[in-house]
Amino acid sequence: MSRIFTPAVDIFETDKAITLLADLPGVKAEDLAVDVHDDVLTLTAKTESALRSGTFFRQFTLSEAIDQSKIEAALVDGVLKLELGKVEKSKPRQISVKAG
Amino acid sequence: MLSRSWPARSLFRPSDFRFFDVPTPTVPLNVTQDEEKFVVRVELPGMKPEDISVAAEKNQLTIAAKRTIATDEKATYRRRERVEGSFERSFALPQPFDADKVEAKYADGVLTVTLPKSAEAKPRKIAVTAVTGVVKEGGK
Repeated sequence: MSRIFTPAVDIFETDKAITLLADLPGVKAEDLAVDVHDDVLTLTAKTESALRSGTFFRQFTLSEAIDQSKIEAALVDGVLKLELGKVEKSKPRQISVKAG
Repeated sequence: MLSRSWPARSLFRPSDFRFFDVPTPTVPLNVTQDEEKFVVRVELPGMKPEDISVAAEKNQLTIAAKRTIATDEKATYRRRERVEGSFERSFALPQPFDADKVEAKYADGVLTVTLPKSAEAKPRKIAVTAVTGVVKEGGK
């Protein structure tokens, strides 16, 4: 029987990037798929072990545009670390106000 | 190791972890056995081997682990579901094992403890011998 598991995640962001950490115990890198399409991030990881049999699955809608060339993923000790670089915006112009 | 036992239902001691917006966490633990050994598997993602302790005594196994999650102070958190805290579980296995030969390995966030059964716990195979000829009962 195939089951769907929802992994616990931490998501935090800075000015430059959104970082996602997901607990995926027992998952090997080759069984993990990370997909960013439009503004939807999808995590899919198959797991077949004595502990669980099924698929870890989770989707997120991203609030900001992600630079597809700035996505880094690392899976270490059953934790996925995903760094999503934000699209650089034009810097806000400083307009000095002069007293007239 | 000091073996304090906690109620079987509460895998995390309530005082030791922070609650976030998720239900009470549980640590999935699985015990399997065959003729030779017991195998205990526990999901402990994102830990270091030195943060996990395994103690075996008689037919009692104790697994303890402490998970800490570093916080990025400069970042804005959107979700915090991953729990940190201490986990300790102590339980008896149904048959004695050889405590000197217990092995614990940590890979892909899963702890696997292998406990070879002691000789007296292994099933003994008794060979059936064919007896040829007529077996006389009684006799003169």
